[in-house]
Amino acid sequence: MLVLGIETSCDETAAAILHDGAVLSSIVSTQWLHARYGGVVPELASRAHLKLLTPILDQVFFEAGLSKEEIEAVAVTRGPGLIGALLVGIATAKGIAFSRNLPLVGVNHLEGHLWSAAFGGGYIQPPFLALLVSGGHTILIGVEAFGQYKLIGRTRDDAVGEAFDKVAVLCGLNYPGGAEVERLAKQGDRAYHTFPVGMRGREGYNFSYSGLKTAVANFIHKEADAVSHHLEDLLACFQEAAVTALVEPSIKAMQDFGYNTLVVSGGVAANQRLRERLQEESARLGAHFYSPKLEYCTDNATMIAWVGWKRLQAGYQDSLAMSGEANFPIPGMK
Amino acid sequence: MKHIRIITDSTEKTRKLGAKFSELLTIGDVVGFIGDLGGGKTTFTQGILQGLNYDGAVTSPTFTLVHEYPTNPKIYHLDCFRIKVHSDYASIGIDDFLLDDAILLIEWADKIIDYFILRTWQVVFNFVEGSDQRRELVFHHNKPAEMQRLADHFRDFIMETQ
Repeated sequence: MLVLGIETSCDETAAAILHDGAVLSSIVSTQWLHARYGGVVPELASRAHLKLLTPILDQVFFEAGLSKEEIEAVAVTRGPGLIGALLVGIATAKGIAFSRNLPLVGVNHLEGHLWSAAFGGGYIQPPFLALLVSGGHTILIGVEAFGQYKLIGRTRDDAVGEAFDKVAVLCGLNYPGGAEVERLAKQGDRAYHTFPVGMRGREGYNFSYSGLKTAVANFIHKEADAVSHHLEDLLACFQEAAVTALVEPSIKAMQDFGYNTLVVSGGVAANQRLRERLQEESARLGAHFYSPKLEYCTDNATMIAWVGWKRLQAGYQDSLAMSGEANFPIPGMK
Repeated sequence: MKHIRIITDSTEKTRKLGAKFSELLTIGDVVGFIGDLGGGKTTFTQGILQGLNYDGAVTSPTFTLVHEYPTNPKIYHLDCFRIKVHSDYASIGIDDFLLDDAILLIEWADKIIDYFILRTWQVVFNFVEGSDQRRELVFHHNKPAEMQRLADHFRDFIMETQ
């Protein structure tokens, strides 16, 4: 089945075409607005989606070598996300579905991320434990089967990607500076200082990043030369604490729930130190570890088309009355 | 009385102050938080939600921009950290939230504070020299009567008015 996927939930305008789950073409446009405004501005972002979506759709069909008549279903992100941004993708998807009388399927953005290690690397057989880490989300989900999910842990305050971006700001780097933090941390000494690991010693499998961010802010206030002379060391220590706070609950959940496979996804899954640590710890348990290709860590439409295809196979379909939902829960999540 | 200062020396106390502050809030109130990263804004917000009997997670809306809580009254928790252009603040949807029967909590409100004139609380979070845990919370409201209410409400806490 040829499925067109459309994603406009936040910063990226994206489209992709998949044939039975295999990627034919996938385009993600980091909006030019960002360079100009340095962050997402909702209403402007919606306008950018409007402006960018049609040319991106033309391009995605061109790169797949298909005409618009050949598509067999349309999948679109229904939420969670910025409502104005979501509606641009949804209205477009409905237009295409209505005009060609094609099935329309709304997809949860986070469910897309959950499965993104499966594209280009083969299907990952559930059950597995999924660690979803990004600028807006930090969640641990048990995946029993497609559409059967169990919430195991989540952040109590900030998302891990946000902690990276905010620590970057504390250190005078530009926002968003998560990738720059990782680059500098590579050259730093992890023994320079010990920052607290959020939720360590607490019950459950949750995460917390507000305290770590504050600890970094306090340290910078106290140690005058921390940023000027020890920036790499400081960031290496921050990154180690941030990564450890993800690794420890994940590994504990692997053991307690008996999972044999760990899958990381989302924008922060691009962090090499996190991948390294999860890989090491999984190997120690004798468990498998999977991570997405870098291009599928950040927001993309491939994951939307893929989950849409799976949902259609499972018999789900949405009507043209479907609307966007800013706080859309993952279908099948307990 | 233009400002009321309260010192806190722990996150627990900051959270308690937030819970106590929530008792003053009613539908239509807007509270703007101003202060550096790590200043205690999130903790204070968690306290406000706790004070309104919300026991779920209170997560940062920096990336997602707006979170809504089903408290009574309803809370909209906004974050302007990522908003860089002054003229764009209306586009976050603030007018819609103002028309709703709700309380608005706005992080990084310095970017947006002149958008509101009346019924606006400002809470500034300052680091205190010589201590890494200590924070100074400075409250301000445009209406003198509101300032008096706050002074009465918090009279048992370490406080300085000016």
